[in-house]
Amino acid sequence: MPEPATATVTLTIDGKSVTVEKGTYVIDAARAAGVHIPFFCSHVKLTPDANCRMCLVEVEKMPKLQTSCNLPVAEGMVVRSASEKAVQAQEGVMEFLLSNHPLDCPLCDQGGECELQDRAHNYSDNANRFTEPRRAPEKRYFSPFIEREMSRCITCMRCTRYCDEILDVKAIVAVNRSDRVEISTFMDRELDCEFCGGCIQICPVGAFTSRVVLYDYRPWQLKKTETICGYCADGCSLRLESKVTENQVIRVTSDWEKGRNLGDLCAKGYFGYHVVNSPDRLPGPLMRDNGAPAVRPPDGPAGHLTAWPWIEAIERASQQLTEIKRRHGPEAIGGVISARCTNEEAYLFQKLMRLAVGTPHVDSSSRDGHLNTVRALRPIVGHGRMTAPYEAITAARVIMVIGADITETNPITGLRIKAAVRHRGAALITVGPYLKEIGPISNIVNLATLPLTVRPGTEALIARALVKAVVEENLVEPSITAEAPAYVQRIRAAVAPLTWTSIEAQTGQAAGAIKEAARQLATAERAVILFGQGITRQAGGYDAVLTLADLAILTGLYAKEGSGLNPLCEENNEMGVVEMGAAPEYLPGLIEVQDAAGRQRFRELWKEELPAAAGWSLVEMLEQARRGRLKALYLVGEDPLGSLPASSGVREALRSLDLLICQDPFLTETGKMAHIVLPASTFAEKEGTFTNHEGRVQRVRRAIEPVGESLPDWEIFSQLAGALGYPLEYASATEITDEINRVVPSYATAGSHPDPDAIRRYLSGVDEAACSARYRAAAPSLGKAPAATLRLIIGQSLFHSGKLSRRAVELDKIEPAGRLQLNPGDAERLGLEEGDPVRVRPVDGQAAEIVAPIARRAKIPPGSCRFHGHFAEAGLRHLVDWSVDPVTHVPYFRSGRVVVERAAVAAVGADQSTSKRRA
Amino acid sequence: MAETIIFRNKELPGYTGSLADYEKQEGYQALRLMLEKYPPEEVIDLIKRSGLRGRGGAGFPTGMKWSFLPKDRTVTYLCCNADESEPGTFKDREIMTVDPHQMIEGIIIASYAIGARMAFIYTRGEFAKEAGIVERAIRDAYAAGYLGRNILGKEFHLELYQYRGAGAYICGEETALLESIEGKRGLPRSKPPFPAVYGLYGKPTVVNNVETLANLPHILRRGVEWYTAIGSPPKSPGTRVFSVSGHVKRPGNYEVPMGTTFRELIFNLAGGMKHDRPLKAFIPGGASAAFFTPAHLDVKMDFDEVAKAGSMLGSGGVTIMDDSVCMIWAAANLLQFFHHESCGKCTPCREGSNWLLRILQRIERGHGQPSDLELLTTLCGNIGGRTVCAFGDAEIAPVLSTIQHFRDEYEAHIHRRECIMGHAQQQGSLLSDVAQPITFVGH
Repeated sequence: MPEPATATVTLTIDGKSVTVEKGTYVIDAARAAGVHIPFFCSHVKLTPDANCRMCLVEVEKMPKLQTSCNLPVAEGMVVRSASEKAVQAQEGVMEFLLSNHPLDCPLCDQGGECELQDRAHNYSDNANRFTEPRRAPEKRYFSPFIEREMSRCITCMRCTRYCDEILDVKAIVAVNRSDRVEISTFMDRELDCEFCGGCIQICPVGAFTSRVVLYDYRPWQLKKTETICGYCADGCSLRLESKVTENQVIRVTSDWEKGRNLGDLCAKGYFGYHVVNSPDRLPGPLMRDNGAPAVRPPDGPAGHLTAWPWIEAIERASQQLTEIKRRHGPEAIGGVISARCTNEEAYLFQKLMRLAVGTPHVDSSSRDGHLNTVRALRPIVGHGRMTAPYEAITAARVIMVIGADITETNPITGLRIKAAVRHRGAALITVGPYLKEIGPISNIVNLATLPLTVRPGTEALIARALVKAVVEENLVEPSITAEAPAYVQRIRAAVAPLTWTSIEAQTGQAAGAIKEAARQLATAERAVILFGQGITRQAGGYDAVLTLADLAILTGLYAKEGSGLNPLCEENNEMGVVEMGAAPEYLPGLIEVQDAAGRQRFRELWKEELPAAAGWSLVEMLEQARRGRLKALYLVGEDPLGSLPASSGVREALRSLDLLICQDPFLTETGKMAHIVLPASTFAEKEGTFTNHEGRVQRVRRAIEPVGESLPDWEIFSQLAGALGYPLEYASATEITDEINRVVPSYATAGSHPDPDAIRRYLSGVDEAACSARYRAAAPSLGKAPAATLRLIIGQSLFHSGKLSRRAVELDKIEPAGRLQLNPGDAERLGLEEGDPVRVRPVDGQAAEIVAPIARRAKIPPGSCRFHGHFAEAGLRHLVDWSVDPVTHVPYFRSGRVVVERAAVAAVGADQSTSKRRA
Repeated sequence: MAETIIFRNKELPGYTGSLADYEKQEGYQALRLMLEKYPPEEVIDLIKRSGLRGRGGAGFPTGMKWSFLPKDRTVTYLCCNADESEPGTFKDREIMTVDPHQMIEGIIIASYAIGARMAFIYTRGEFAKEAGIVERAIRDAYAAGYLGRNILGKEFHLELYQYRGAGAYICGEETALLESIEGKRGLPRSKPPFPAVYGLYGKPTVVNNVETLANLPHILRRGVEWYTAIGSPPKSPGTRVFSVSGHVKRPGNYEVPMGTTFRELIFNLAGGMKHDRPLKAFIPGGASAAFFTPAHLDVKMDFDEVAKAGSMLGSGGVTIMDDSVCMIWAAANLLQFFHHESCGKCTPCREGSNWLLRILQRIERGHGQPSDLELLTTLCGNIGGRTVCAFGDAEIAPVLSTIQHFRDEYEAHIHRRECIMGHAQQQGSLLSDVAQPITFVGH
């Protein structure tokens, strides 16, 4: 895309005068003038290719007809798009395109939304002069997800251009020449790619359609609902298209140019919707048939879970909560909500827990890392949101991605980085353990202009080293030096004991490269730092975020327009649920719970006393349950048993409870231990808002009626509150939104700018001792690596999101089972071929283990191995170390040291041996 | 025989084209002279004044092409187009084989003139033997200090690489050639921007033909006055190598001064018609050029005269057909080539080449319709000038020119099913049936 130009050009198109920005193409200028020039290959997302020749126009003083899609406007240019010569040319192209087209519109899924079909009406006279047999390319198997019908292809190359220019994947390419051109894969193999669905969506005809819903619908029959994706925090706008009569989501589409994603989606967004109508959805509420929570058998409650009507489930839940409250006090009850819920639900949940139940113990799944960000950044910038929105990422001159597998965790934010690097020449610094490797999934390291490859777990140390480089190489933003000399002095003193020798030894990265990265960040006109789970979910995460904030302050990232420090969130509403007060330390609007003025304000707004005691985090709640102080736990969309490692003692904790209520669309592992299971609706069945990691509050709309007997979570809270004798009644989610807007003024419109007052306060108040302690802290000890062991990293897959996506049948087909990813060198050393089964066991020789096939990946650093946590079958959870952040109580459990050895083939489960797809 | 330039050494007895042989014939003296005497802008000026025009096909003035490079450029590339694939043209192949250093010296001179520090020879994929000879010559030139760092001890560096194509005609189109060197699918780019502004890897680039570059050492060494006295000045000075093929007694490459007539080339140099049969038609400048008839024999072979007569001098491939050739068959034969080689990027060429071929085949087999001539003409109109590159204009040339000059033959096929080659009567064709798609795997 051209850099924004300010100069304008005036030209005439079909007699209409139009003034546009210099550098605009004629076809776009025509659109601005209200003139429609026909086209096929041109696309708003793509650089012009001018291959279809449909947009030929006559331009005065140019002897030949010109393609308007790639012709820049010029002052005084006179364009005729509807002259006899131009129309004759357009019709000529149309005739060529239709000459070999099969015209199988009645059975083509594109029928009704086909650009060729639409334009054929205007640019064809129905007389077919082509009397030869039509081309009939041989149909060959392509992919289980994408249907390829090459006879319909008009060779506009939008698909391959999208795959290259936007995704940077190049999984599909054109092969052969002439009218034998086909879209295929390398060596005509089965498609292996990111499965973003972009080729299906961008295809103007039915050459690529979704095989998942082949022949299932006609586009005009589907109800279309604009909403926000429920998987990750990128906050993509998408359209759920559903059959009303069947109450089923049939497909997902998106609008180019719309939403934060500008129409781009990932596999989860495009193919992951089957989670909504999954056959595994809970049909209705379940309860233990004996209903007696006091009796505890050795493992879980007695009795079987059986179906009950809603009214009885709500009644029993409220009775038992009331009973526990009477006997042990409200502090014996805790609640945890999933960050997949809406803002409205999180707000109502904390209100339910704090006011109706009267307990301070309310937390969310944002505890798993994101609280490190909020706790660290709120005192500095006033919030935990990105301070450089997506547009700033695209326009940045220097981007640093530290501790983030961005393609896997936040693929659409990743596209912004790709666009910045590939189309605008931005410099990209990556900090992480992974190496360059070309593969079917884009690897951000490949695009890096300065890849800082570091030993796993030392990303935080690199952050400190960058701060050291900035202060020692005189790269500190002058305004900061002038404004807060004491702060700079403190940092200077704090980093002094850190030696380059030890940095190099621990991280494995050369000091020169680190200093160069610091120099690029500090001197860039616009620079953006993005950090992810390699920072927030790794031991010392809170300190690491503070260090990055220091780096951002010192390099002037908070002061420079278009720059900033950007946290990446995994789940869709991690940002929102904390901001809604679903955290023991915060009231709505990130008001600290001890803040007397804040408490007073909420007391007045809610007309109720707030719980006085300090609240427990998720980890503390489990700990207190084990100790017998927490008697009841209300889990909303949370499955700690399925996600936390065994060493956290989660099973013992849950077993100790008198009452466990699980509210979820599915019966989770934790749900199986529950006394009461309440069926909740998914994002497709509810109204509300999500807040993405930029801090954009976006509306979620109901596409289908709640599946089965499920209810949106907020409706369940409302009912339960009523049963508890504390009515929280709302006619709709919008009423809750309105209340949020009242209690958190300007919440929905709040930008993500850093608060200058907060920064000023922070700069003047940095505590010398704490600061130096933070920089002195030893790097997370990797320990002396025992021989023949590997460091296990639990990572995320592009095709999965937590455990939820495992219920999405198509995503589970793409990646049905975990593979242990190993560096080819390590595999060689262990004598392992691709797909060989291995046993992975803890170093200390415990019996717990997993057996999985291996995948050789040059991306994995030698001495490490990677496994996707979505496949965290019980064994895996014994392989990781467990620790808890002393300040933020964020649990750390995504790495460990393991022994990998060949397993007998028989030991591999059927599930894993049949997984032929990649890990 | 008139003076030869390009084939001067070839005609010497025992000349092998080795570096030693070339040096004995004043080889690399022009380079030495240039480095001593001329700053780059003077070389450009010299070539401009020489009036040298590109020998690849379009005949664009070489010096002017060089001067289109932006003044503020930092990196510049030179590409030598040795992707000689035009049916009937085989001159570059001989130039590369018999005197490879002549081309390399030309490349060095051009690179110096335009400020390129890296140059590429893009060699046609099928030229296996030729590529070996060029590779050897490059190695020898490096060893002798004509390539690499500090050429002849001067502050001038040049790295030269040979890049071999993979068998696509379209890669001879200069922007497709650049895409191919970049490792991409060889498809022509939409122009503007032209390579002089946005070329190889997006940098200013000059693409020159083998024969064009081979002329440079001679012009530098012997001077502009000498060069402009040869041929058909001022617009078409110098000599040109013509590849003569088809129904002549002595097919082969002939270097003649520009402005020589086709009659001289065909009936004198090439020995006249094979079996002394009458000349029916000839293609004057490669498969992309419109057919000529005996009426055009006295047209002078210079760029403008041939253009004035309704065709083009093109790549210098002159194909001669006697009276045994059916013109519809000949046009279909060429269309079969164009259909096979159309890159498929843009609609009119991709779909049009197929359609034209089908119609020609059906006429030739005696299945033509009275409306087919009109259909052919309008289809050609929908292709010509509407495509990304010049390929579209090339593929319609044989169709339109045969209709223009041999309309009666088309009508005989259509109305009376008469064919001098007997195809229409046989209801069959010597051509393979293109209805069967040819499937390639790979790019």
